[in-house]
Amino acid sequence: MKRIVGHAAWGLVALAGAFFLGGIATGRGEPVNSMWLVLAAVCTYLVGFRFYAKFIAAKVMILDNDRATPAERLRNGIDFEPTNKWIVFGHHFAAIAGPGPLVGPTLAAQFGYLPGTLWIIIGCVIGGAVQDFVILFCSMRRDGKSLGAMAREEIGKVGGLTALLTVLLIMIILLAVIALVVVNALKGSPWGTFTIAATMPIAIFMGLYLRYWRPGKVLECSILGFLLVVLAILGGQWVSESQTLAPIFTLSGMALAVSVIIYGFFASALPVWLLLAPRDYLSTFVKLGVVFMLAIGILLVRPQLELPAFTRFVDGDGPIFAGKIFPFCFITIACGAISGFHSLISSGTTPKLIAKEWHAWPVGYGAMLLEGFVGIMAMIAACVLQPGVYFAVNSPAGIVGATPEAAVATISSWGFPVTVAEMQQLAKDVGESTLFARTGGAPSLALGMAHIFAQSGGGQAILGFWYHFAIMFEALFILTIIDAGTRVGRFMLQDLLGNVYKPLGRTSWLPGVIGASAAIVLAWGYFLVQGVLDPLGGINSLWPLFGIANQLLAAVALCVATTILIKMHRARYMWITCIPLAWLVTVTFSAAWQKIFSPAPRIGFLAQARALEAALASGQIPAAKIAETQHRIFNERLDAVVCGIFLVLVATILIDSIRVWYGILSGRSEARVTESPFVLSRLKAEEV
Amino acid sequence: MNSLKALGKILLGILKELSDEGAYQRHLKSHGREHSPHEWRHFCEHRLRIKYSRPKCC
Repeated sequence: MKRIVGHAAWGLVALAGAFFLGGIATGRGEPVNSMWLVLAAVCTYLVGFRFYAKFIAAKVMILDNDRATPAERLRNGIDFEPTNKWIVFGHHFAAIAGPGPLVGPTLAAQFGYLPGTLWIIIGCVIGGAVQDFVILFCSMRRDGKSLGAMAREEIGKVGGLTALLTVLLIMIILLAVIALVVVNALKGSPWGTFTIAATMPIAIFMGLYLRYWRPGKVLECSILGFLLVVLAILGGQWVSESQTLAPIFTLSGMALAVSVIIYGFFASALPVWLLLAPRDYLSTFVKLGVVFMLAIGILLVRPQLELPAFTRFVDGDGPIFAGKIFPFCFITIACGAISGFHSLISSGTTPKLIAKEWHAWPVGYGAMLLEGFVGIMAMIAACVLQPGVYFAVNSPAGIVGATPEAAVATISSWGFPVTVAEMQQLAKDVGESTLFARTGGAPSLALGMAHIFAQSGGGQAILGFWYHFAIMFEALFILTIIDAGTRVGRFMLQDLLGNVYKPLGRTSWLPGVIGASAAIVLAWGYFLVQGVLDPLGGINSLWPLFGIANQLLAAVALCVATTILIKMHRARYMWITCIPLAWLVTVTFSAAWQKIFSPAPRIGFLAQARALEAALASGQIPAAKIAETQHRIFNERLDAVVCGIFLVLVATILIDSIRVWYGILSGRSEARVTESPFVLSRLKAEEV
Repeated sequence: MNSLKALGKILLGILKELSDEGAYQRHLKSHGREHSPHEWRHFCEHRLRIKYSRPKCC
């Protein structure tokens, strides 16, 4: 009887999911309430978790709770420790949740709410969550080994080295693009700039507090830090209204870019306890708190979506980034549906904390579903804005015109009416001088979030506070990623350079530390400056490059996962990783091909370079802009080369993997399983 | 009431794990040591070195 009721309940959830998905997919003309998106996602994720993920766990991986996990076998009280599954879930979710699922859906909303929403829902269930889950399982069965180590062992030395190079290159592009998001959010904003600048002394205060005054009291210190950050937001309003201080904190894009680059260098070279670790604690708690608040806000307000299901920009002529839904919607959403970076977390800390093999089911698969839900909330936050406002904020001046009048005329001519007065009032409400051409996604996301928070309580009077609170939340964890990423990039570079000259490989050798830090900072700083100078806003070229890189890393992870499944004699189930792998290879290779070779200058890097060359040759460029144009031509070609390198690296791993698969499946080579040997678990129920 | 208590315990556990306080308690227990500023700094050095040798997710 219980079984029948259970089946009936799941049948109802599945039917409800189909109803809500059908509703958002076919509804046109009428305004759609955000709850349709929320319920479609929740029902689909529940069904995916209960049936698809459980099938993978039971039939493909054959998870076994009697088998001791690395957390039990290698227990050392610090890294390896059997931990309650919900605590590991929270820890894992906090580690995988970054700016990607917030910014990607916000940018992809230029196609309308439907394409991005469907991809976040479906892509998560069959792609992103599967990748995270399978890689977590593979690492758990291999003593918590990293993705790079597994690639080297399972595919070969070529695969391992290529994976290392791929991660390093991807990090450079990632750091540049997220730094650009922060720069564009703070450009000409004394309130935002002051708040973010204040988080640095606050973090240093926290570092000193934890090291000398109250060692070990991280939670207490984080509460104190949070209160100081709230004070900094309130102080930011005062600064923005001060005639003396406001000009000091009103910085151009270039000044902010240089500041972020200098900051990145020092932050990555300073002791971690002083700046990086305390800010990481603070940003993690703020991040989880804001995600939770946003979910509550959406449930309380249940806002209408103002953007249509599809916009006219499905034709590929979008102002935020150029390109059609296929493949550009998918690489823009990136981490909201599938993220290669998650494979680094699933093969990092998490497998060392899993107490029982079956805990990998909610942790690996479930946490990614929650991340997909964050993506849905970001999509809702972007779509609650009036379309005219959304495009006025996100469209670069190079596309819509440099003056407010020109911008509103262009955007209104697209069928999204907006007025200068409306934009000025909105800017005044949030304490900004202007909201035109604030590209990068963060300001429009902050506007949408502020709108939802203000409606949940406080009203329009505190819209400015919520807007800057949202900007602070985004910038806080982006800056943490920048200094942690620069530090890791430095380690990777030193690891590689150590093969050429041994002292360079020592992470304590000062000249090596300074040289490698400078090299990494200059590498991402170069792309950041390129984005700042780009009249098309930088996001048009850099975000797709990041999306391609991120999705290619996911392809690498799925190659490793498929290889392991084949070696485990589960070739008949290899479709669970091969379907997302085939999709990712198709999407990323076609996106990369278009970004390099498309004849449309706004899409193809080489076509843009040729168009600029033609303009130079015909004398259309004023003398003062010749050097800048030549520099842009070089940058377009450089972007094409970087895109090409990504393709070559991933094609290398893919071909190497197929060679291994073919060898095993045809019986020419032996399927050698490199799992740790079975040890019976002796963990008692109360220990987990 | 018991469910609320359990939820509170899990939330506190997540916060302690994210703040490294949980790992520090385990470190003290497994090495049979008492909390002291020196011990915390010693723990941090090891913990943070490993933690920040891995990239943060985007």
